[in-house]
Amino acid sequence: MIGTFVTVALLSFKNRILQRLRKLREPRYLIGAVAGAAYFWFFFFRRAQNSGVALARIRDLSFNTVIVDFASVIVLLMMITAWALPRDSGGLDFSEAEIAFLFPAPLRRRDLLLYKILRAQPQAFFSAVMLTIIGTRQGYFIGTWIAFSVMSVYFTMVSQGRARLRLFHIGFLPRLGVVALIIGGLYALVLKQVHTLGAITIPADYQQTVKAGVSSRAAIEAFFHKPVVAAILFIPKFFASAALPGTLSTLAISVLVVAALGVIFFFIAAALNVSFEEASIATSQRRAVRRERMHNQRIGSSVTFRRAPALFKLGETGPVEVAIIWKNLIALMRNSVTWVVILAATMALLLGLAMWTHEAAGYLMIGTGLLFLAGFFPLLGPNMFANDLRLDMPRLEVLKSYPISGERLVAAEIAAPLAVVSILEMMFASSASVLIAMAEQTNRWLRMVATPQFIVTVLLLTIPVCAIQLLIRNAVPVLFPGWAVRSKDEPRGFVMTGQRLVTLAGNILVLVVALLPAAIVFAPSLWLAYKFFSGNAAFVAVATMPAVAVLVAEFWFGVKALGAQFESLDVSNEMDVMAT
Amino acid sequence: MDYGIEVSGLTKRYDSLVAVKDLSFAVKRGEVLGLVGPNGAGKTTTLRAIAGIHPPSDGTIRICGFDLRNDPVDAKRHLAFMPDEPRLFDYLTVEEHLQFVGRLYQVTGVREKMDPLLNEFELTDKRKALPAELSRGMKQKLMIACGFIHEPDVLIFDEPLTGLDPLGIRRMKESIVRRSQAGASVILSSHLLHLVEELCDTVAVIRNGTRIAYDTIDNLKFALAKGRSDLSLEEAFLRITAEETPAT
Repeated sequence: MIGTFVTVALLSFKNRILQRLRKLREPRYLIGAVAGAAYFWFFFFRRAQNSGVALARIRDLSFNTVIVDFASVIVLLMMITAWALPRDSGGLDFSEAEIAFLFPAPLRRRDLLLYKILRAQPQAFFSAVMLTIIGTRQGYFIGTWIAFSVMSVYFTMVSQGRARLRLFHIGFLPRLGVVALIIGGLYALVLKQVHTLGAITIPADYQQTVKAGVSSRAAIEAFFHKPVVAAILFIPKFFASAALPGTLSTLAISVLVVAALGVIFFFIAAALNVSFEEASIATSQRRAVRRERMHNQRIGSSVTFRRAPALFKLGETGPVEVAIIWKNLIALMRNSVTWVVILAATMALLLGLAMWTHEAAGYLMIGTGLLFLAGFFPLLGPNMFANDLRLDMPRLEVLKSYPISGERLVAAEIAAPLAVVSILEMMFASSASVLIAMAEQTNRWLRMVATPQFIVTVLLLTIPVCAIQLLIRNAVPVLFPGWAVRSKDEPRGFVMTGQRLVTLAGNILVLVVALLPAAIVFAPSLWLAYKFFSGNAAFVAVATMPAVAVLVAEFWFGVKALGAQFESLDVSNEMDVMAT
Repeated sequence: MDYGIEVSGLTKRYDSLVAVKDLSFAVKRGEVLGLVGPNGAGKTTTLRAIAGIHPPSDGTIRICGFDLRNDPVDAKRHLAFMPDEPRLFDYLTVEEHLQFVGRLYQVTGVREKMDPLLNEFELTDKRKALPAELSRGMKQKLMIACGFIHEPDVLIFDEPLTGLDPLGIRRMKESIVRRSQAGASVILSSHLLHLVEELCDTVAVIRNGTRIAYDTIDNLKFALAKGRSDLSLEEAFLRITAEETPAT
């Protein structure tokens, strides 16, 4: 039986890896993998290579017995508090396929437990390897692997133990009480030992600090070597020493002891003979729901406020675009209103703070902060409020059957988030302007900010900028649907990180290219306005209109092009990816 | 002849793969056409092309006289597509779905039309519910109710009975018959051949994207029965697909 389980576990792991590698044949995954691998290489390995001194210190500290001692304490606490967890159904984490195939199979509970433990091993091994590479502790991953694996066996045993206690009518509260008593007792014992160490003084200068550090470490080591403390940490210390061994002999001994403990824990778990099948099915279902919820939250389609009302009543006839806007505003109210609340609360807090300080410096500081927020929001806002085509991509099949042209649909989809982003932008810009005006600064630029013209200019420019930004964001799912909408077997790890990085870089690049013509036009028109129309009502018009015209024209062409692309988009190639 | 759907020379290619090849048929007003074929025959591809979801590589599709390629919005205004998998908006309630679709199709008196529809599909108690609160069958019913709200002239169903309970199946069949009797052109794809036999006037059998049979059910069975009177559509289908009968 063990041979079969090991084969299944290894084959599953191998197939999972092969499946991911096979996906790399598709350019979108390959590009993502390359970008992700490059990112991780620079972030971890390159940095690790360039900081040899720091690493040497880390390595030195890792080998330090003090670290092992503290790790032992953590292991001990985990081992004890595991008994105080509320869940006592004994349910174990099996996949739906495992439940379907293994539960009706002629297997003993002990076999199922063994399968669960063996199945987790390849993944645990892989994680231990990655952890040791990132932690630059090559060669000792075997200890980390064994320690993690046996801890998971221990937790399985404890979950079965809690279920068995429930059968004896010992529920959560009595267990909690006993655990609290044990921890309290241990704390009292430890406290008694601490008193024998004497007082630790805070040193005055660096030299003394070093000396004090050395002596403190010696004192801590002495404390951990006291017979009572050593006895308490006897078993946890093997786990810590396996993961953080000082020498090879320590590693060998710790691994052997921990593995033996693993066998004991397993047999105890099996001997408890808890009927975990039904609870495991419930656990599996809960996990599926949780995963679905997380997936939806990631793609912004998780409904947070189910009963949030529509912002306006939808008439029966009239422009069809209004229906799309109405729908997206409902989506915004139910999915993304948290952002609106956070932003509004932040602004209210800042304004309240400014009023409370009642000083020019306070007004200026908070006003400048809001000004920066107004500057960045056209970039952040369209990402926060993705209640547009990005949200509707899984329903592309239905959208395409509606009697509305691609061009009108794209424009309507963008309208709702644009309205929200523009309103928030107006709030930030006008509040900043008012606060800076209240600060009564003499600086020429600050005086310019503190005018109604500034607010109008910001709005005239940021609305089309936000519209273009939203257009770019919506272009991604239409042009690269496979990147924008993820399937259930979506790529993970550095492939996904890479895809996100490439998408972000592409977004920024396109935005820069889109804004360049407007910026070229804006600079001379601002100069002209400042030179000839300063203080005049025509100032805003002269300064902004040419740039706004360029941005609006770009947006218009963009909507037309994206609409045409939407109409010709062949959903058949993407439906499997988008299936929700 | 007054046709709701006219498909002529429909071809759909994906790179080197030809999913649908030179497919032609027409559905009269009040007629129900069954589109049957083995898995991967090209049924869903055909239905999606007729619904304007993806553009055909070749051929023409006319919905109530409107060319889907040249006049897509007018053509779509007359049709309703019900996919096999209900794809609803997670954040809209049952009622809001109907309001939304009503506005898209410029339906007057949505409120008055909504109640009988909700009643017909047993969704009256669920009118304030979000899709997450509905069962698979209820979602399917809502999808179909959304398709019916604008009283379309052309109805396209892809496996319409998936996930429905026996009562739901019965009601759905009655709904389809009622709408076809009212003059709607209906095309439905299903693997449930008894359903096709019960509801459809004509059948098009496709295999590997090619039409291998197209006739009324009685004629098809008669042609293949060779003197037997008890031949079911299922047996006829198995014979046709096994023998690769040339297009009729």
